[in-house]
Amino acid sequence: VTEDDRPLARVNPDRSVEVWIRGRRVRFPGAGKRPEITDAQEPPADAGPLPGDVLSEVSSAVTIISYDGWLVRAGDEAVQVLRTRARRSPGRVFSRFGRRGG
Amino acid sequence: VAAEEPRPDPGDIGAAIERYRDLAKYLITIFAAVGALLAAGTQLSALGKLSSDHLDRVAATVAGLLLAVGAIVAVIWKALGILKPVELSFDDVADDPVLAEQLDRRTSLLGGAESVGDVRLLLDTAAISEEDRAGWQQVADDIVTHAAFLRMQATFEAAWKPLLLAALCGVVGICAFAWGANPPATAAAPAAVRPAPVSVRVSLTADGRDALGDALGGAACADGPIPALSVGGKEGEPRVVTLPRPGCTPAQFVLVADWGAAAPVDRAPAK
Repeated sequence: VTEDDRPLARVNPDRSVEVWIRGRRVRFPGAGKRPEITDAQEPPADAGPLPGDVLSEVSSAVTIISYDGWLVRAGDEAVQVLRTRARRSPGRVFSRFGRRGG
Repeated sequence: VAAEEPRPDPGDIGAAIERYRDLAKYLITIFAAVGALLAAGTQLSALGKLSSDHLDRVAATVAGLLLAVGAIVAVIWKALGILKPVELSFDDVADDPVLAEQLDRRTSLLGGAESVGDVRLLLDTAAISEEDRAGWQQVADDIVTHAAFLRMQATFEAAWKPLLLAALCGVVGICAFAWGANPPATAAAPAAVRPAPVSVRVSLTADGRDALGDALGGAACADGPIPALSVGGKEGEPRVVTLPRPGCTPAQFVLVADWGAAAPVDRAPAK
């Protein structure tokens, strides 16, 4: 992992957070809204280290950051966006027998 | 919950897995009962009656026994595959493409992720909080539990037809064994019955008198009807024993046609 792989971030006045990883800009609008991802070769000059509430994991192949209930996994090719919080709905138990109607 | 997904059941998955196991036990019990019923009708003691005269039955007995034993082994083998515990870890599930694909279709199990692989990513990454990871751990537990059910279902689906086939082979084997081990009783040889003596009178020809005169005690003893008993011989050549007469010697001989003839009398002469 080189210094170039390390994500840089900027906190905007509107409380949104922008993070630059692997040639992409990830903007977390806040309020739990889904992050927006755009191509961006270089971070701006005022970008700095990640805020403490932005978690990250960096390897030579992928960079993962999470913030505001969202996780972004960026590789050289693909970007994946996932929720960090699991939603568990009741009644996930199944059976072939004794199924109740209705 | 997607329409194609099974609906929630008040029972738990452990109970569903146990139902498959119970089903396997019921099948084995039925097979065992049928086998016991068939075996009970087999007279094993008749095995000793088998000999080289019944090569077909000997072959059927051996083949039937082998088939029945082989079927029993096959049934037990398949049943054990269903009854043994299912051991699965989340990594086993995520690394099994067939299982993972089946679970990916059950979106309600995935806690909002799109695939089992995504759940693994969320569990493995250091970029989420411990609280969030604990939530995904519960999702992973649900996935593993359901995967165990799917694996048990697949094991049962793959086992019940071979189980049925093995049971049929067992029945055929027991039937072949029963047929081979019980040869029909051979027709008993008729008891030897000595022919009852028949009272006859022997009339000798000249050749007969010449041949038997000395044996009967002289020429006078060979003349006229000679009282005798027919004690066997063949039709036309009876074996006769002359009865004692004064001055004559009792003799036994086969009365050939050239020597004379024996005519039956109504009743045995009085002593």
